Amino acid sequence: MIPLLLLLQAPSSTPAVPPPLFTEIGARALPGVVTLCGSPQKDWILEVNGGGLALGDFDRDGDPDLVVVDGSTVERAEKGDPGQPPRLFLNRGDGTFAPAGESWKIPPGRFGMGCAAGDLDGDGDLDLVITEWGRTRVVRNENAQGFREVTAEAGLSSAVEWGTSAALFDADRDGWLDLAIVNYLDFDTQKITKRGAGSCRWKGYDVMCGPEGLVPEYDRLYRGLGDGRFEEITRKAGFVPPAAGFGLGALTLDYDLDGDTDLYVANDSTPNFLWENQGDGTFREVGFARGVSHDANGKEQASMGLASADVNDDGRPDIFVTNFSGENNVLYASKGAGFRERSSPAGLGGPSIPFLGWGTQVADFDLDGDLDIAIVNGHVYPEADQPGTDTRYAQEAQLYRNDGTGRFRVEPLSSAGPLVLRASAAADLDADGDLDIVALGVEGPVRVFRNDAPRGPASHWLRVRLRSAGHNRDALGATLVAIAGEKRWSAEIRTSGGYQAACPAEAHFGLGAAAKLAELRVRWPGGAEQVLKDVAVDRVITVDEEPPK
Amino acid sequence: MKCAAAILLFLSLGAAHAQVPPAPSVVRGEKPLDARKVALARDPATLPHAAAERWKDFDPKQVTPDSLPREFLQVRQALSGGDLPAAVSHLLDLLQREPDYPPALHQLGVTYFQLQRYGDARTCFERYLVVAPQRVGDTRGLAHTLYSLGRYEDALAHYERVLAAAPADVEALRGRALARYRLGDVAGALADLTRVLEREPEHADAWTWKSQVLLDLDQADAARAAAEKARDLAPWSPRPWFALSAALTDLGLEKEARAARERFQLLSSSDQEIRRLEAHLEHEPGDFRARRDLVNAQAEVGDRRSVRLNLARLLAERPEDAALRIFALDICDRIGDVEAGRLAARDLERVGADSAAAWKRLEAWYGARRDRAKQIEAGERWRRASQP
Repeated sequence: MIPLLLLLQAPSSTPAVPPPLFTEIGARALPGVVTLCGSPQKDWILEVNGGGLALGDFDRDGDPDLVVVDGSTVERAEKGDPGQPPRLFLNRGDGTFAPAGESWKIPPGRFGMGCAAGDLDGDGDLDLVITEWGRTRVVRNENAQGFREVTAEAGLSSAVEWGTSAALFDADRDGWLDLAIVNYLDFDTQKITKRGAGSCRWKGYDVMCGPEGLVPEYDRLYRGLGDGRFEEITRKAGFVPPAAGFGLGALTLDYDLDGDTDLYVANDSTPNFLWENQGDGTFREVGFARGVSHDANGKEQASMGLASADVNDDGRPDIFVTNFSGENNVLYASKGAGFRERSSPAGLGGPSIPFLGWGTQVADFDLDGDLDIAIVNGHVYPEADQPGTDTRYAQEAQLYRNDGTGRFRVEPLSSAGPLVLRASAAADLDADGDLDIVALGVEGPVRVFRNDAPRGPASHWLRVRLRSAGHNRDALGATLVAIAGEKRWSAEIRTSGGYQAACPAEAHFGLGAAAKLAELRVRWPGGAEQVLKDVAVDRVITVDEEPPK
Repeated sequence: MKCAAAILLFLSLGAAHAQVPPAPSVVRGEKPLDARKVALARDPATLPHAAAERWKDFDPKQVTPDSLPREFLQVRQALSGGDLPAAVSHLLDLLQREPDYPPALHQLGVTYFQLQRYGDARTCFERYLVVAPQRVGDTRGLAHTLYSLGRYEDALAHYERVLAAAPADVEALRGRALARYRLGDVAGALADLTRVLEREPEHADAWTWKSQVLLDLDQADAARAAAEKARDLAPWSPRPWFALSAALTDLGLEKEARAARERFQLLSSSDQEIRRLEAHLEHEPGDFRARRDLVNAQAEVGDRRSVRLNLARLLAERPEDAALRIFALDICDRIGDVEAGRLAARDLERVGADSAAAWKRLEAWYGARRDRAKQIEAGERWRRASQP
């Protein structure tokens, strides 16, 4: 009997496929939490983008909480009825969430989309900006005890626009956070044809109309005044491109390492923008000149999600963009003064073609010391399930794992199977050192993907929070370099999370076998450099900015 | 053009390459709209299979145009009219009646490819190879399909097979270059593109790709030269301008790069509209207004070959429409296509024999050509037609 058992247990000639790195635990972590985005048959383009989310420590207890920005229906919005309210869920510390109490309630808006998180008033807690099909809203955090909406006095445009993503960053380096709002298009049911009239087709099937043929809206830029109020500086700052794009994603980064924060905007079916900060909070659009406006063939893509990190280990940030089905996702690798598309040689191009990608993160999910890429997918057309489309409506979320040479191999993110997902954000929800992911569906249950990265002597990590001496308390725009032996890892502090999402203002390093850092270098938003020596790993550290010597 | 495969390949490629003057002889393959929808909703994997070895002796050299099944005439008509869904419908009918008939399988693969239904195209090409395994040389379409699906390794492997069977297939060579490029083999891609251009020095697309590859190899000067060659060959296409701007940027020639960028942006914007209209017309080939808009957009950028093709389709749609022939003449003038203009003028004389507007336009047209006799004659006809 024993030999038989041994035989049965012997490894087969085909190595077993390891289970996916993530486990979807939404039903346990956020029971019963669902979102709404119009009708399930998706008659209008307004109904296909889903809501937004922010991961951040709103109650200042040390773990990331979750804000879910919910939508509405076209009919409700047109009648003037409120949409679903944004909701805060407090982390219990183990990656599961409880609804926050009464003091945290946010009134409903018109039709919620995305959000940005940051300390607008320098009081040490995270405030919120919520984008809507409607007026952009500002919600102040009252000493980590609750929220209070301050939209009326915030000084933002009262125009009804379709805001998608927002980014908070200190554009003019005055210490106060400034705000970019990315707008999509002029949505008006009186001007746009409803699905079913036969006027909009995709692969021969009747689908909802847009964005082609519709009118894109210009984005807006506001200067933060430091008390939660803003002044619009869109024109004054040169933040007006020759032609508006169908804006969907926003990401802050210092692409040219000149110490100020630039902004990359993902546009749907129109060229993407790279707004280069001129050092004083004015901007120049350099997307084409830097090689990040189109794909390598000179074709504008339908871009949604964004992420940035130093994938090619040259010390400069690269940009990753998710796109429509039939187009490949794009890795713009830094080269010279700009970027070159390197999607296909990296193994990121071909496998992405059948998928329509949304939220994405570039991070070391398996803690092996190199950067991986997580993407949540889902088509905009329910008709994608018809024959001949080469894609599906529900699609698997994917993890592109770096093999250590800069080439990626795709695998399912989890065993949850195909879903119709949109915005996503990553954070270490359960304080185990690896990054978990929260994702919204276009509607329906909120998904929580718990990272089950196996641990061993080659899976070290470090999470770093910064405390700036100025008003920009979370040091948005700071850059970090971790050094162990010959190996260097770079990171940048931001809360802008690409597509309709915000993430915690901290750096996460997967360090592989590096059991200690020789140095951790911080360049603060004000320009000061600080070096920490012999930094212990496998922990969360907070670095306070040294006072000037 | 004796064998069926050659005829079919001609049919499928002819839409893009034939020098088509405005001609009233082309009619769309008649298929009720619903039949097209039903055809497009069908998965070709559900087609019946032939009995084993039914086609084992199939030899395209034995197939003459006369021996082609009657559905092929309808397919030809549908393709000539740009009605791809109708062509699919006829081919499905044929394959239902005559399972796995190799020329129909191949043509269906090509047509699905043109409709960007790559999964369906792959199904057809793979089945074609099963029933006609000796015909690998016909199947670069399968490699193109695999490439379009992002399966670059598979595409490369199939390009290799095609080239082994048909070494002179320039498009397969170009395809292999692109597959190699996608897989990071930049040197291999450059070698293949160089071979393509040795055989077809006027291949604008290959020059554009070569420019891109050279830029990746940090050979900006050579990349610029290749992009300029592509631009000269296809000045209406945005891609050469894109490649040129990138090369000039790398060379630090900011002013020249900006000029190329501005031209690219202009053409790119028109190109987006052209692609939108083409995609629409693939499924609604009878949308007269959309095709007219397409002709206008193609004329705007100076894409003479595409203008001719779509103008021919428009004129075939309305064989007795004099106003449309005046439009055709205007378009030929706009793109400086005297040869096509002459044919359009002749057509207008016939169709607009009683139309004052037609003769007025013809008088101006012949005047501009300095054809004094015809100008006088047209003027006379105009005056006569204008009399109450």
